[in-house]
Amino acid sequence: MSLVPPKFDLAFCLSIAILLQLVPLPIDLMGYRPNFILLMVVMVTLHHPERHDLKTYAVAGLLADAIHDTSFGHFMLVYVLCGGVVSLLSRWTSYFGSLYRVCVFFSLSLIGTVLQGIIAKMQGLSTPIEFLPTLALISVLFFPMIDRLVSRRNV
Amino acid sequence: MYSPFLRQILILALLATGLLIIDRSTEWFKPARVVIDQLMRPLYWVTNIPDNVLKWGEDNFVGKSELIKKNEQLKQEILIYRGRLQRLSELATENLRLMQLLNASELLFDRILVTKVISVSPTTQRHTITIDKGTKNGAYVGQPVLDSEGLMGQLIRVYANHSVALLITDSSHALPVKVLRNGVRSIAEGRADYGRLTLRYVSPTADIKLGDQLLSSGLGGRYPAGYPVGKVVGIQDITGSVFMSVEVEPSALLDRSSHLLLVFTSDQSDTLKSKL
Repeated sequence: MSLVPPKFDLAFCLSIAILLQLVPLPIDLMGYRPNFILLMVVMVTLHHPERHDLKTYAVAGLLADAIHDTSFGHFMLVYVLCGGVVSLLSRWTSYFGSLYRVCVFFSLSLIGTVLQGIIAKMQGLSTPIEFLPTLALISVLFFPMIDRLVSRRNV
Repeated sequence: MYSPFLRQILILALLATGLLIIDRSTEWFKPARVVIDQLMRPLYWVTNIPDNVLKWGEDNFVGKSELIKKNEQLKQEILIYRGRLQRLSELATENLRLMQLLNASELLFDRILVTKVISVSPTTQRHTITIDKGTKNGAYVGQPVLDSEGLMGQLIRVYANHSVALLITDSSHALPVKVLRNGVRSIAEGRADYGRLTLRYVSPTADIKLGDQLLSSGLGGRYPAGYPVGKVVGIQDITGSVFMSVEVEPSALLDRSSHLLLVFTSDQSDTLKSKL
């Protein structure tokens, strides 16, 4: 059993997600960058639903707002709503096989990006919707990496 | 009545919405943003390491023949620009004389400061860049930013050693422009696409053609007049609308330029001189 407290492990996983979120990309590829912070929190909840509730999502959302320079509450709202879906599903997903988990991961990243697009649109910010399905698929490609990272830590 | 889970979602969603409204309509979180920006600096520095290493490699591992070739090319460019400058300085002097005759107070030569892009916004929704000049260098909120080709945007947040600039393609940005050919005025709006701007409220009878060059008109007092903004690349009549859709390709290399110019308008130049 790990001697490191779960909160440190969560902070470690979030730091990795933040770094991945901030790494500079060419402008053409920027639209295809997954929301790593959301993916990491979703994965953490799928692994340990009993340890993390919606407050984790709210804090991660505020963190994402600070990183993306969006209005406070923008990502927080997206994360809390996604977190609600994850928390509802997590009782079943803990018994799911990998393939079903990948499907849940895909659906959640799609829901997350759609919600983000809707909230952005309500604020007058433009969101290219043509990216959304591709973005969800790219998020799924990162599933093994994030899954491996989270399962090895005591989050 | 409600389960604790549903209650928690509702409370947090309402809290997020409240924060969103407050942040959009007030400036209460401005001090928090300043602190967050300072805390984020080391993170940006770390994430820029691979990019900086690549650039360093490109600058330092170049063959001699390539350097000689580049040097020749730069010498030729200098020669061409010097030739053009001779003609321009003559025109500028003439323009100044005419302005003095008209008692015009418009600034002819803006003071500029060279700056470097240190990071770019990680999302496509916000088109912002961070530059390495701040209040210590005299930068101020609203200051225009240019690259070698045209207008890039304006500073929206200024810190001691760095500043954040909003690009003209951000969907919350609009700037007054005029057509170089005939002086027709309009407003160029960003639409979160680095390669496109849209002209707002252009009537179907307006004299705008494909290929027309657009310059900043100077109206509104934020941007100085006469800087290149873009070129008209698409005109389309929209059925049922009283206005045309006009698409503009920005002159500035918004996604590529790494060295930019900060323009000091006349008032700010005077303030800066007195400060220094």
